[in-house]
Order: sequence, then structure tokens, then C-alpha cells
Amino acid sequence: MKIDKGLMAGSTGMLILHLLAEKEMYGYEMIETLEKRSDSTFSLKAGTLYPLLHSLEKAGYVSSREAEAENGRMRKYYSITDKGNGFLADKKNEWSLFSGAVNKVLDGGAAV
Amino acid sequence: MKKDEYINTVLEQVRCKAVHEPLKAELVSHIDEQTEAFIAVGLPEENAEEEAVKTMGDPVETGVGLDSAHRPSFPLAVFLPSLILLFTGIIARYLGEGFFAFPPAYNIFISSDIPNAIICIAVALMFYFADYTILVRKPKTAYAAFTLLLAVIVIWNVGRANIANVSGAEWVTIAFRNTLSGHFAIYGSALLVPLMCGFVFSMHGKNFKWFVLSCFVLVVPPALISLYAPCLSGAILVGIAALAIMTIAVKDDYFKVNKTTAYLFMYIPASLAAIGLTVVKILRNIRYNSSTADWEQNMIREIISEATLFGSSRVISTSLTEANNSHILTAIIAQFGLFAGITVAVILVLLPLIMLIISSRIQNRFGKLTAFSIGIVFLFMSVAFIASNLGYTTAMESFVTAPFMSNGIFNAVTSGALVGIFASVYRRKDLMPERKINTNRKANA
Repeated sequence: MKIDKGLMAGSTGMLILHLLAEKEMYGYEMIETLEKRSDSTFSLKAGTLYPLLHSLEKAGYVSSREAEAENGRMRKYYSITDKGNGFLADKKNEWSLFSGAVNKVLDGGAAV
Repeated sequence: MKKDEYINTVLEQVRCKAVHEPLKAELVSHIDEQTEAFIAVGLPEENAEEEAVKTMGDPVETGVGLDSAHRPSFPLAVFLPSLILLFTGIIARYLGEGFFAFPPAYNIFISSDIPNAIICIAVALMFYFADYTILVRKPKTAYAAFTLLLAVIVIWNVGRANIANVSGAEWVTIAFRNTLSGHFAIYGSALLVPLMCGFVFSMHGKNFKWFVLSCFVLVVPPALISLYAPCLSGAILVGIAALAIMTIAVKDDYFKVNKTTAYLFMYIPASLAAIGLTVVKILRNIRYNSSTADWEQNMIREIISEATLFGSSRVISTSLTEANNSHILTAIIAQFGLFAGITVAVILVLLPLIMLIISSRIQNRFGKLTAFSIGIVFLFMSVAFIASNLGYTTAMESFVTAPFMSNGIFNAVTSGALVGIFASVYRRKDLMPERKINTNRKANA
């Protein structure tokens, strides 16, 4: 089942930062990992990923380096910064609060 | 859609040309990875690339997103204190006219204050919009040519400044020329620093022998020129800047050397030179204390010690030289009080500290090296200027003026150029991977 783009938009940055908190990755690897982990629910387009990654880099949440891969191809690897880790923690808390509240409402909500 | 067509459409949306090449490389790499993955699962080779391009999404949407992420940055945190210092100097000189015994030529300087400020801002903007990686196009030639030019100017000036057997107006003219060679040495040394960075970058991957040679080339010729001027502060500036540049170069693995050996090679002579200079200064103070040689320092100390928090000092000497230039901070304290002086001194120190903090966050190694070294130049100039204005060194001994604040075309051009280069690095701080610089170097080899 495909997810509405609007629902994805706010949380993509958090998902990418979470992946980078585990290890440094290059763009193609991030899309593949996200798709595998979500059982193909999150199918991110490269055209969405790169502007997002570059914005995160400009904000100082991720940093990048270029390195040659085993196949001789130059890859740009991204890794999370300390500032990015702090931002990720905030976003996770925000998400937890939001999803908890949504679930409460969907489950019938607190007794009035 | 073909790969090239997709890439071109994306790049057409991105206004910042400096980022085109690295963006193209990243997107091409992604499409190639996806193409290989499709071929691996059995897609025919002729269709694989087109399918891979389809997975990228809409090129216009992608380009617009990337354009938004790569709007050039403007370092307001650096430009703002620079402008404050520039206009503080003009205002202080305007209000101070007639307050101190300025040199006879002072009115000429006052009239050129505004043109100098315009030149300073124009030079800063010119370098801001220029691509700073030009510093690595012909780094060795540029460094050698500028050093040679500096040597010729200084030697020519010193040669014409023999003050023996002359007196009166002629003596003043020659003494001015002598001062001029000192100013050439200090400003020339400051402008040489970005070229030093280019020189060191060109030595990337070289062994210890080349590291030693680089240390020698960076320090000895420009220091000798400054000492010949004579301008000790120019030599000290060169030494400190070279030490900072080479320290970062060793730390960031520019050279293939044992780091401990390299640090010892740099810091032992640097420490000995610092100790030597301190001893000479102490001995000189013991020898000449309270003599006429230190009359100006004593006068400055008296002005400062009798200064009030707000308003003019209880002691104001009309004999204060260079009140419009090298001693403008002393003049501000004397005329407006300690609070005004401390505020100006804080801005003077804050500017290089902001530069050093910003440079520590720049990702590209050459950009970081250049920005950091410019921060070091401003820090040295500011600290030496403040020390001179508090009576710890004499202005004629240091020739150091306040970046932006002191008057004169040399200061305007030097301050503007250095801040402009710093801003050019900042403008592309996330955009200029070393691969592009290396490509430029290879293309020009």
C-alpha cells in the first residue's frame, strides 16, 4: 500500500537521520535501506532525497565526504553530526507525542 | 528520458553554477547504481538506464529543490562587524579633527575616507563574487610572483629612504617613505597568507622533505622582506600564519609525514623565536625605560590611566602620533572614554573569533584552511593593534593598524580583500568539494 505523500513529507528527514545515526551511507543505499526496512512502504524518489540531504547538510545536521567505492565509482557518503543527533532526538519525541495522540483519538480517545 | 537529458534539466533549475559539477557527479553515480541493479535483476541493458532515470522522479521538481538548498550564503556575521569598524573609524576621525595634532597630511586622508570606504566595500564584494579556488590554479607561481613583487616594492622604498645627511622637509618625506615600506611589509604579508594556503594545498600528498621545504618557503622569504623593511610585526605575522597553516595541513594529512616529528619541527623553532623576542623586548624595556625612546608608550599609558568611563580623558596629549590611524583606539579612549574604547576593542577581537568559529565548520579542506588563516591574520592584527594602543608596543615598532578602522588605502584594500576571500569561501562552504579543486588543478597542470 502506498502512503500519502503529505504524511511522508514531515517525517522523511527524521527517517533519513535515523538511518545515518546507525552508519554513514550514500544516497542510493539510503533509498534501498528505507524501502527494505519498510517492506516497500516508503519508496523514496532520488529527486526527493537529494534536495532533502543537501538541505540537512546546509543546516549542519549531516556532513559528507567523497570516497571511491570498490567498483571504482566516486560516492558521496553522508553521516550525522552532533547537531543532527540532537535534532533527531527532538524529532523522535515530537513524533512519539504526535503518533500517540493520533492513536488515542483513533482508539476512541480519553474518557470525557 | 536519457540520463544526460535528465541531468541537464535538473541543473537548469539550479542557479548556483559552482554546485553543478558535484551535483552532476552525485546524480550520475546514483543513476549508474540503479542501472546496474536493474541489469542484475534481468532488465535488458538498453532499457535499464531509462528505467533508472524514471525512478529519479521529476527533474524540474528535483532541480527546484536543489536550487533552494544551494542559495549562496552571505556571511552577515562577518560583514556586519567589518562595516561597524569601517564606519567607527570614519566617525572617530571626523569628530576627532582638531582634537589631536594630526600629521600635516591629515586633511587629505580625511577627504579620502569615504572613497577608501567605497573601495574597501567594492574590493570585498569583488572577492566575494569571485571563485576563491582561483588560489589553487597556479599556486606556486602566484606565491612566488607576489613575494617577488613585495620584495621589489620594499627594497625600492627602503633604498630611497636613506635619512642620513638630510633635514627638514626632505627628512619628513624620506621618513614617510620609510614608514611606507613598513606598511607595505605588513599589508603585503597579510595578503600573502591566502596565497600561502594555495601553495600548501599544491603540496598535497608530498613527503617530509617537501614539508620542510614548504615551511622554509612560507616563512623565510616573506619574513626577510619584512625585517628588511624593517617591520618586525610583518615577520611575526608571517611566522604565526605559516605555523597555523602548516599545523592544519599536518593535522588534515596534507603531507605524508609523521605528525609528531612534523609538529616538533615547527613548534621548537617557533617557541625559541617567541622566547627570543620576549627576552629582547624585556631587555629593551630595562635598557630604555622612561627614556625618550619610549615617550610615546609612556604618554599612551598616561592617557589610558587617566581615562574616564564616559567622556574625555583627564590627560590628552596633542603629541599623540597617528591618532587617525595606528593610535585611533587610544584617540577614541581619550576622546570618548573607556566604554567606547572597550566596545571597539571587543568588536575588533570578535570579528576574527567569529571567523575562526565559522572556519571550523567549513567542510571543504582548502576552504577551511583559507578561512582559518584569514581569521588568524585578523586576530594578530587586532591583538597587536590593541597592545600598541594600550602602550605595550610602539606603533612605529609594529606598523599594525586596525582592520577596517584605521584610515588609508592600503588598510582598506587589504581588509576588504581578506574579508572578501573569507566570504567567498563561506559562500561555497557546502558546495565546493575538493574533487573540483583537484580537477581545476589537473586542468591547469
